[in-house]
Amino acid sequence: MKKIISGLVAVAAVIGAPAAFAQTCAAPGAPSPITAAPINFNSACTAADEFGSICSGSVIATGTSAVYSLQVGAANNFTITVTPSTGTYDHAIFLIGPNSCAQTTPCVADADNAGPGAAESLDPADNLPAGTYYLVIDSTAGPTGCVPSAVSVTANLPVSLQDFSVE
Amino acid sequence: MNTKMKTLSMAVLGLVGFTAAGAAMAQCPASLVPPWSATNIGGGTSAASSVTGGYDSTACRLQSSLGNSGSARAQVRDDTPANETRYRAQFIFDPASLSGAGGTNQAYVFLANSAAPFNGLLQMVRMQYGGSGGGTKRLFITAACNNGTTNICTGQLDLPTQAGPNRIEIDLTVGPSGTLRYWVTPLATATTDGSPTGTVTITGGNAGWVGVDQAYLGLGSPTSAFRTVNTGNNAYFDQFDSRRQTFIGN
Repeated sequence: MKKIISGLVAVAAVIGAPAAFAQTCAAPGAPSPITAAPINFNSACTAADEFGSICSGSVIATGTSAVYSLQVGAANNFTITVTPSTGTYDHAIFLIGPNSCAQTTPCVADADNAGPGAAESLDPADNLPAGTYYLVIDSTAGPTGCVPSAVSVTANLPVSLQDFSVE
Repeated sequence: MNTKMKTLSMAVLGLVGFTAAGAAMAQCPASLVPPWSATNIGGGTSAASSVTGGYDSTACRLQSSLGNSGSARAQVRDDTPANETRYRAQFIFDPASLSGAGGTNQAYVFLANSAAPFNGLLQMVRMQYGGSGGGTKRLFITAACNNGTTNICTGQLDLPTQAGPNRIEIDLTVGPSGTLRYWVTPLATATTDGSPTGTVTITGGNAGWVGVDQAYLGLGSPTSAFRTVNTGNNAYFDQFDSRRQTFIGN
């Protein structure tokens, strides 16, 4: 029996994989595109400040931004948690899209209420339209720098039966 | 030729009243869209709605409050500007229920954005409510400018009415010698085109941003200090009007 997580399109990550550590809209950071959950990875935070504002330009984004892409399928229900590696950095996380990654792109979900050093977690509405979404790790508080973070994408999804056979 | 681009008065919707049980009552619309292009609400318990109590003989006003999140926003959005190289806008802002404590207590009240970023910035004009550190309520005005360093040029002033409505107007010209004039006055004060309250010098011009393409009205993007003293507190807005050429005034 073979199962796939229906909320995340199963696409080989090696196909069209962007530069590993660019962490920009044009070249989202590894392991982008994220096609399956659950997944845990570390954000190295080597990017520049690509976002001066975010959420269609309505929210300030002062810190360095790190961008990752997610391929989201038709049925989805997932959460993203980002935990900074130091206790002083107050980051904010945004899920923007679909199929657009810019300051003018709407925010699908965002989180910035945990305070310095604490994990931020966002929980988009279930069953977002399928497409490519972008996780932007940034800050609304600090004008400089970001810190490496632990990123966790947790899926709570119905699984689809793709094939079944009895041998 | 002066062209009136649009008028979006929250009060217009509230002019329709009805009488129930012998008492005249104002009925404010359940939805802010239309006349606005969209709402932009997010971040904790942020909320925006049309409520009674409009200013200057109008019935309804926009009520905006923010939840405890740095990305909180409770705004309405106007998509009708189209790369406007001359942009005038006026609105009423009442901070009576906001605390002015804390020097870094700040939140957006108005944004005029370009269609695409230039020098990494999208916001051509940004107005922020803020505290002085001594409790005085202020307005911080930031304009995008190609000054070669920060790309922003700033001005600030104390709100003339600390516990009631203020009338705020801007006149932005976009180009190699861009200008930003502003009028910030008590509600009833008469204003003239030739006598602004102040100007923000746009060093290096603002031609790179092309023009105003979108505007937001309402609280947004609060600092940590704002959230400490103003989470859940209401700010009120009314009588938004934007035009290309003609002075709006009072």
